[in-house]
Amino acid sequence: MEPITAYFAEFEQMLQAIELSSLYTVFGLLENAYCRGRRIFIMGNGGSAATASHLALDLAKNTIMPGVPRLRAVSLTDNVPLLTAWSNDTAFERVFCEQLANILEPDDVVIGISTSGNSRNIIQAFSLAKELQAFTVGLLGATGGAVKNIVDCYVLAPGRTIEQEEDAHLVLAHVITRHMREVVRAYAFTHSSSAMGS
Amino acid sequence: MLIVRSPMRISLGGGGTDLEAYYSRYGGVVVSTSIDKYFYVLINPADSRMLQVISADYQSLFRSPITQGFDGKSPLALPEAIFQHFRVEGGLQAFLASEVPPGTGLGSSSAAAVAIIHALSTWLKQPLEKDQLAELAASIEISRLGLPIGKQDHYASAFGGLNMLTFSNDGVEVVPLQIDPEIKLTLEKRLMLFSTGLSHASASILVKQRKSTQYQNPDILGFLHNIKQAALDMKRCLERGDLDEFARLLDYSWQEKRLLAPGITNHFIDRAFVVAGFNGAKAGKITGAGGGGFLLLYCPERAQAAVTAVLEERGLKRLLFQFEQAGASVVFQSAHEDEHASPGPGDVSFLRAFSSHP
Repeated sequence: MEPITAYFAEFEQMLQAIELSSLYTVFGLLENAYCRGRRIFIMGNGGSAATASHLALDLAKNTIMPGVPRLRAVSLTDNVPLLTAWSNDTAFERVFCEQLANILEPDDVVIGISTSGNSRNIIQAFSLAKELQAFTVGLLGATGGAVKNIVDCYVLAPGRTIEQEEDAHLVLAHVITRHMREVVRAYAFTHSSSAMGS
Repeated sequence: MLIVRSPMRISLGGGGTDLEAYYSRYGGVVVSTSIDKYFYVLINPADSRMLQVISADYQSLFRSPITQGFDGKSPLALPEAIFQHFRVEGGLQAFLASEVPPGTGLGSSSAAAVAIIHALSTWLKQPLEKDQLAELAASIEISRLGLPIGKQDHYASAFGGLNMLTFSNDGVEVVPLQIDPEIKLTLEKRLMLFSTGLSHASASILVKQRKSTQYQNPDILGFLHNIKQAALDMKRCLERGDLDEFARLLDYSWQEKRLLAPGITNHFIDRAFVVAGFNGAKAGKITGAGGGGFLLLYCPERAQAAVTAVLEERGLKRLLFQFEQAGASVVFQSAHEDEHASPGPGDVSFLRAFSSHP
């Protein structure tokens, strides 16, 4: 098959293989976080760092409804001075957990994006999150790696290549954003209808 | 010798609407089923001056005269109050044992009240109908001991079975669900109980809830109205065999219930729900008032092994159970009970077979 067509076909196949029930668990977790005013922290390395920033942006900006609380989403991949400081002074595997140690609170949600599922800075951040009683979510590749066994829930992107898995993560980021937009909209609706006493 | 037992229950929907602060104005509805975990009362005759009550769960006992130090606060306040009600001051030894520890949200304290009352009324030949039994148990726990609980547990335990209970100022009505036996069997298979190992503080949670209801907090009232409607819908969907809808209502009720008062849920419980849901459970709730106790899950058979493994890994423990039908009942009554032959004061050798600490 022509390589481009093959890539598209494989990509489509991978999307079909994503477990919707795991995605629904992630939705439930994020809904709870929103309704309770908890925060969502997102992290990843390389291309996944870009996806982490992208998801944080979408959740923070593209879900807003007037008159109701906004989603509190923050990426851990955007403060280059802080990332390089921790990396230079301690080790690269500390870059996320050290950022979380300042700000993470119980019942917050930490999302880690990793195609291998074995990134040590993500594993260390999840360990700290567990200790601090935050919820943990993995957006992972085909196998899930070591992260699969330490998070509360995860979604696998069973791609043939890392590129496809990263593509899938961006699709998941958008699906999550669209869902949370509906959640915020529903919140706004129930909020305003009870305010009118109906 | 007389042995009586009364079952624990799991409340499937409507919990909270059985509090008087709510049902006296709006009417309450609960759907619940009794299960094959019981509170046992064993009575043996003793010298007429002798009254001895032994509780395995609290590892404590009291002896006559019971007026000494009755303050309603000791772990044995409940049996003390019941013995006082029946004016029993001697002539028997009672041994109390629960299959499920107290404070786990399966209605064990109310099962205890029903079982002790059933035992004493049988012993004293003052038989009570099931509704009298439930009402007396409720009034002793609620009015006499001042516990901020509802009446659903007493009725569930006394009557047994899978019922809808309705509460109003005119009284309590027990309506057995008209459910297809096959559906009931499937429901029984798909419900799972897991002990969280946390003892719930139902009194403190229910006090907050009762206060909110009394003060007509509109949010709380809204949640309770929703929970009641869900219980009514639950009865209908069980009777027409729609278990998917039942699961949806169970989940909905839990989402409403967790908003009733702070402390109903916590991180440990929420995380258990997340991993159970991730591994295939469809819905769930915390039994009883919340804050601990048992996790009740609705989970398709094929996912049960995975859910059990992942929850037990996190320190929860599965409790296998079946539905039960009989409610409060006499398990054993010796033929010579009339003679009230005393085994002699202090002779509790018959207890050894039942004691967990021989």
